Amino acid sequence: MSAFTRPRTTVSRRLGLLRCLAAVAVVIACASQILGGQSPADAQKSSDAKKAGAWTVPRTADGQPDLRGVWNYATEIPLQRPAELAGKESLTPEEAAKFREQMAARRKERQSGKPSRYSGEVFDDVLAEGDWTKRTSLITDPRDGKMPSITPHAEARRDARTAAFERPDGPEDTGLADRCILGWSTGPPIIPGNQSNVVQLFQSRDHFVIHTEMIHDARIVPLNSAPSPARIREYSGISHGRWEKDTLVIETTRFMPEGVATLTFRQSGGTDENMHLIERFTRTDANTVLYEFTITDPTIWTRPWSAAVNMLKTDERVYEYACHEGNRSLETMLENARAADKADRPTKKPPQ
Amino acid sequence: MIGRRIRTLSALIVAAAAGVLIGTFVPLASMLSAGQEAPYRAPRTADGTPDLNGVWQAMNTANWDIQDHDQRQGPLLQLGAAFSVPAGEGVVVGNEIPYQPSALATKQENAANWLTLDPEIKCYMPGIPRATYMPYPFQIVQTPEHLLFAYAFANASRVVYMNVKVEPQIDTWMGYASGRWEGETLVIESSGFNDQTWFDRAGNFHSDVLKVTERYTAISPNALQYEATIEDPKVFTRPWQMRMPLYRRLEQAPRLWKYNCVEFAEEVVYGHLRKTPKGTK
Repeated sequence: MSAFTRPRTTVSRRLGLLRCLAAVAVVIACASQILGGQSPADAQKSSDAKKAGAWTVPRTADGQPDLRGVWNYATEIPLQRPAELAGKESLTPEEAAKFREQMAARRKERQSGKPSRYSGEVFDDVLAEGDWTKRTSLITDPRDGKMPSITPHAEARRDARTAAFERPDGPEDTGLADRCILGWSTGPPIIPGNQSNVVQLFQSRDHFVIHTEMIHDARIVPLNSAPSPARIREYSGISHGRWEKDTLVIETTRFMPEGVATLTFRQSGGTDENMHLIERFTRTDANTVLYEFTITDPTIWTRPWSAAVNMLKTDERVYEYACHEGNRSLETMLENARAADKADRPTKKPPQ
Repeated sequence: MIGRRIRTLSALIVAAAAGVLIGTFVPLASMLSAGQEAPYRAPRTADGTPDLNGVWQAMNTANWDIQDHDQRQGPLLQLGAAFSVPAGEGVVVGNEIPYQPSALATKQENAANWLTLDPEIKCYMPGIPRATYMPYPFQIVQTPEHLLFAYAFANASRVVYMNVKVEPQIDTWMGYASGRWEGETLVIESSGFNDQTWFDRAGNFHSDVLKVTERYTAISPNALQYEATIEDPKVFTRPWQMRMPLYRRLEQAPRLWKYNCVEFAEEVVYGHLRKTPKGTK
């Protein structure tokens, strides 16, 4: 049995909405606790290996840099830098060590059986092996570690969708992740969330596959061919890839107007059909794939922005993630909304 | 021409010798029918295994009914000829499915209540082998240790672990798959299924002890022979088999356009929870 047991479908979807909301909350809450740092061991691995000259990029039988394997991208580094860490791009080793202690204590408390939103959550178990670099935000550009400001159009869109979400008339008023159309951490782009931060990468001569556990999405990327001329949009966009030296660069456009679920309307107004996404996968050492992305979506953000995530090798498997098949969460959200209609009261807030 | 004749001739000689040695004409007869041409040898991947990479699709009506079926009116009269059922040859070897008597009654009940019971209508992951012969393509991406099967319908996918016995840990929709190469043939054994998927729209079903053994063999550059052996002692009296060809999609750069069908099933699943019935807003 694996170290982190995935629950049955109905269980895994039971708190789907809460998790969506909580993913954002936990990252902010954790980050606001950042006073200390961490052991720099993992962060040092890469440079040590390079110094020793012991490691070269492994290659597939076709000669491509080998990105294959199962990778864990869990992290508690927040996407955006918390206000109290303004101007501070990274933590000192002491700060990082203290932060890590705090997170360990927090995990212990959560696992103590006290009922809470996170009791028994799988996230906690994998996190210990997750990415512990010292950065204070995943966003690398702009330098302040925050998403750029959004356009007036995006603000209006965010407000309308937030209002509709408060008491959904039907499934369309909720999010793509609540509806099990896309995962909330799997993108594209991939942004770590609070569970199932596991991806299996496949390579054949002509294709690269990003097989995310969440929502069993296999994003198949043709390599070294022209972008498809077909005028087709998909929820995950249409991708094509190329090698730039030892980095795989994937360009994705033609998203649906609803955007993707990793950047929800609750955060930013959401993305839309104009997103132009560049993703880069680089094997940096035996245990790490560096994943970087840049988003340009001029109808949503006033400038492009970029982020970076370390994905660490794991012996775990990617398990089946049946989301829509057991989506009791959406049913409950709609039942709650209809009950609120009847009682003429606001919808109940999820428990804290 | 000459090469082929020589091959045929040598096959005959070998077959005759085998017939004499074994003292039966069965191997002779089978070698004669198979010996017209040498079996197809697929191109190899860089690691030397038969290359089955590509986008594939069945061309049959098995998703309507895996057994022989006459044409019949579809379930929605408004859709007329566009969604009625064409006649079609089944894919079950021998056409008989060996149901236990009580299971046959369940199958008939499933068929009678197809519109409310078939998991396809709700956009649920279709299970194996149904995913293979639904009227949508699937793509194989091969690596030496793992094969990825991605299906257009419901965005379903599964990983095949090569040369490793994968022990099912919980029930799943798409199963736990262990694969191996037997010469030209990819053999996949799957178990760990739940009892929620069906074989077709005719209500053919299985239980959670289902075991499926699939065999994929390239028979030409653009076709595979596909066989699936079904074992399920809770539902059937003996193992039985499906067999059909699968065809390569030959568009210039074929892509697996996903059928992310969840949104089309929302009315069926959540329609009763809408504030305003759809179409009246």
